Amino acid sequence: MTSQNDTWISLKKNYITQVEKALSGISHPKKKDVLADVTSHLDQRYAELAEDQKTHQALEEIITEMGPASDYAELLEPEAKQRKKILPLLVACSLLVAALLIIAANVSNHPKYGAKLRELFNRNFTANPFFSISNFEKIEPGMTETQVRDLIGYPMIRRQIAHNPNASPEQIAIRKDEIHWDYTEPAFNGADYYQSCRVTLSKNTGTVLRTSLHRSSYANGSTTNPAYALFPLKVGSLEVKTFDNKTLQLTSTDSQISIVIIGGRNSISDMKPEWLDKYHQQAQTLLDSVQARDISVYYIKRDMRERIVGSRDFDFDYVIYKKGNIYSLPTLYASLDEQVNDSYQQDRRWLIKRLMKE
Amino acid sequence: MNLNNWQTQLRKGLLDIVILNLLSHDTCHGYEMVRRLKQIDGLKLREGNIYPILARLQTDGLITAALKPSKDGPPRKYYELTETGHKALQEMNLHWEMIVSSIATVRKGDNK
Repeated sequence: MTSQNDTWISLKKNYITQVEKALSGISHPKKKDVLADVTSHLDQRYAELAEDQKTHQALEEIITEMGPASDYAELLEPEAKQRKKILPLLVACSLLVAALLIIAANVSNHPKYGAKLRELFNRNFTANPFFSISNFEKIEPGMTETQVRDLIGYPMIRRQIAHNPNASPEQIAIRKDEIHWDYTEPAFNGADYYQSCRVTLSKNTGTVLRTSLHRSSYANGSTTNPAYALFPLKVGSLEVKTFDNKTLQLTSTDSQISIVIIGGRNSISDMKPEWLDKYHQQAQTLLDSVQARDISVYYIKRDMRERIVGSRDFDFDYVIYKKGNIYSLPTLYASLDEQVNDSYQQDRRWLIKRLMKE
Repeated sequence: MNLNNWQTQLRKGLLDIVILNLLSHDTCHGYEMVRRLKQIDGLKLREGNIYPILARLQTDGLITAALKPSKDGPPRKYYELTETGHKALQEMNLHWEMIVSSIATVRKGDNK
């Protein structure tokens, strides 16, 4: 037993020394924490072995399962590896493309999103409550963003070719000043496809350049993120729990608009005051911007998300409730692109104003 | 092409999003995270890999760690997603879906 213990101490020391050496080339502030965590992990693995399991082979296996020491520096400071080891660009790109192709082979045919889309569309979900194919067909080059919104509402997602990993440098050069506003509409009852409708706008002028429409199979529904295609959701009257454990009644006969903020936690004690302040401030800024100070704002527990948006998978933090309907409030999180983010801000103002009129 | 090397690099590259998604459901300590992720065959997690990533995500402000007492040993470091982490994760998940869908488009030949 003592012999195995000595073996373990030696194996562990040797591994930690290797990790320490691997980390010596970087200056990350948490290097010591990593070493302490790895040591603690190894101690726990050893402690979990019964005495008769502490064979030399089992001990070596624990070390092997930790992975090579060289991984630590690369994972702690990925940039360091790039600086140190310049891979030929072509090889790196080939690896990435091949990686993505294999992932796609496994993921893109997964029925998950297709099934979700079909289920949602069967429940009469559309991209947004204001979209229609007939109005989409009225979009013409030269129209402004506001005119597009007034005709077909806000898009379920905005995309730029510069963010498309498959776009060639030539495509990016030609289309770098374009933003796609993508909408989705079910084709018709019983069809096994839905329609993807795209409005392409110029980033520079904010006006429409062209539109396009194509059919997408539900089976390959991963081409669309269904999380952006859900609303309005008819939920009727709702009874939900707020953060401070009060029961909130949202009544379908009441024409009052309510903003419902779905928290990332279930208890007010788990919410940091600054998070609540931030949510409140964002909601207030939004309401101020549309001069709608009498709209109520409620904070709902995370567990209530499924009841409100129909699925736990869809991660909305802001929704609007009016007359038994839930409307998505385009994300308040800043997009990677300032201009796109500004468009989302306008979507939010537009939606509230529109609902106030109805 | 060394397929094993490629698979290893790919898995390592995806660990950030995997860990953040795991923490989006619950707070967790490192050892428990390893245990849960090892049950997922496709990830083929190397146990030590998780710690440098957790350290980096902490430095980036996406997660926080707090020591909490443990019934069966010394206090454990529990990790939790910050609000910034939640938001970053949403963006990462969206980006991931966009990549997958873009490849699906190429695979189907729709981009000709």
